Amino acid sequence: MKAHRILLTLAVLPFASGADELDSAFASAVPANQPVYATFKALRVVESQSVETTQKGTLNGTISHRFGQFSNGSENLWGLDFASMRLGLDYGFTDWTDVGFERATNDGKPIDLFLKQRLLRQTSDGSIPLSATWYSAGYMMTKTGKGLSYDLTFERRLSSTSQLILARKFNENLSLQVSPTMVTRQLRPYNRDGEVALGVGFSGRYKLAQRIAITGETTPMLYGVDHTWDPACALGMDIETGGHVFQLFVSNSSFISEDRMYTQTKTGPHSAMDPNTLSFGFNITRGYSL
Amino acid sequence: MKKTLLVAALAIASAADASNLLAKNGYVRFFSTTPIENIEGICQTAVSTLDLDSGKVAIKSRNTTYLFPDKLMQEHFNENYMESEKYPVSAFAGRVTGIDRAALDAGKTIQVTIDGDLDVHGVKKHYTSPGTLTKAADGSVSGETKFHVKMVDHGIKIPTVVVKAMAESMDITARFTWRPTEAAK
Repeated sequence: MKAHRILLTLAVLPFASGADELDSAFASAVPANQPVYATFKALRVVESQSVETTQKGTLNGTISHRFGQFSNGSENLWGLDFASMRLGLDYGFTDWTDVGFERATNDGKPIDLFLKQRLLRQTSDGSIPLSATWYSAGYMMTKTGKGLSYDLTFERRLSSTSQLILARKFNENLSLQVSPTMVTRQLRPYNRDGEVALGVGFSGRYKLAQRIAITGETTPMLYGVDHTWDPACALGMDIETGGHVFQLFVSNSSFISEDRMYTQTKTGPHSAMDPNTLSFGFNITRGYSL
Repeated sequence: MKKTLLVAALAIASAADASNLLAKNGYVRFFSTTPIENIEGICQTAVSTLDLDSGKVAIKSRNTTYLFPDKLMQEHFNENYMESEKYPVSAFAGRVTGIDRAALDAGKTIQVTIDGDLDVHGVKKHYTSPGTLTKAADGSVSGETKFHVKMVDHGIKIPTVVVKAMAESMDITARFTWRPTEAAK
């Protein structure tokens, strides 16, 4: 009886060791620990930058639209008659470095050059618990300045936004992000506004279905911004198709450029999310592998 | 009596072990072509064991190690099609039949049949495909096989918007060089 058992065990042994051999070879040859992918689906969570950068060798085009406020009423199709937009192109020089150029139509027609540099990449086993990206954009207004009550000097045309973007993908559905933010500008709406403004952005993504996610963000400014300004907020939806990502959203800001959006959002006397002062917007991004 | 059995069993066990071959850096490629675009992913780190006596073969590859010329495609492959966080590994387990040991040992390339279950995206499906095996002077055995996989058979849906850019089935090519276990270690 005992002999049978031993025999049985030993007979099974070669097969068992074959499977073990595969598993141990697999475990040693192919580490399970890999960088996480798709913390967010696009360069922006909604309107603010996400931790993502465009991958190496990919040229990414972004078209952003912001319509007028819903309070414009039916005559103006609840704001859809008034659109401002921004066109952007960016290129991934490496999987860690992304450089882009953009131009927006509203508020002085700013052009900007931005850099997104990855600093850390979260790994699947949690040995690196979060991803980090540095974002810096420099803007320059390109409008003529004719008819203004002040001289639109070169210095006054310039502004910047910088963010240290920290994000974690908690599971395949949930990603959250915190971004300490600094905006600098010469030209301010009020003297009470500072040349340097500081704040923190909070944003997140929750995947509802294979290609659909809801997104949200808010960026309260804590320093250098007059108390009459409101924090920029947005709630959106990501819809992903083959190479495109469509981001549809509702926002309380009429600005597309980050510096203005964070420091000059004004939603009226009632509250930061007064439904009448919200507006509809969308981004379309498309990557081309060069 | 017991001792005899034990010794005999051990001898059998070690003999079986000796015919166990191990392949690292195995090559698995899948390819689909449509007028719009080609989709190609290559894994060069698949791992496999092969037992020439029983014909048992097993393969494992990690989905995130399939590399694409287009990085965006690679992200889509993992996030939208393979769902690599849920199903990180693609595997095959089956048997190679028709191994002519004499011809193989003589250094000829022999035609074999591989059949077994492919486990992709959490769905197992049985496949039978032709392949070849060649034994080199150093005792290593190389093999290659090609077969078609329909994505729908593994529960992978193609959204209507990209139906024209993605073929319904992928051509899979797998190439391995197995070495005797001791040498592989």
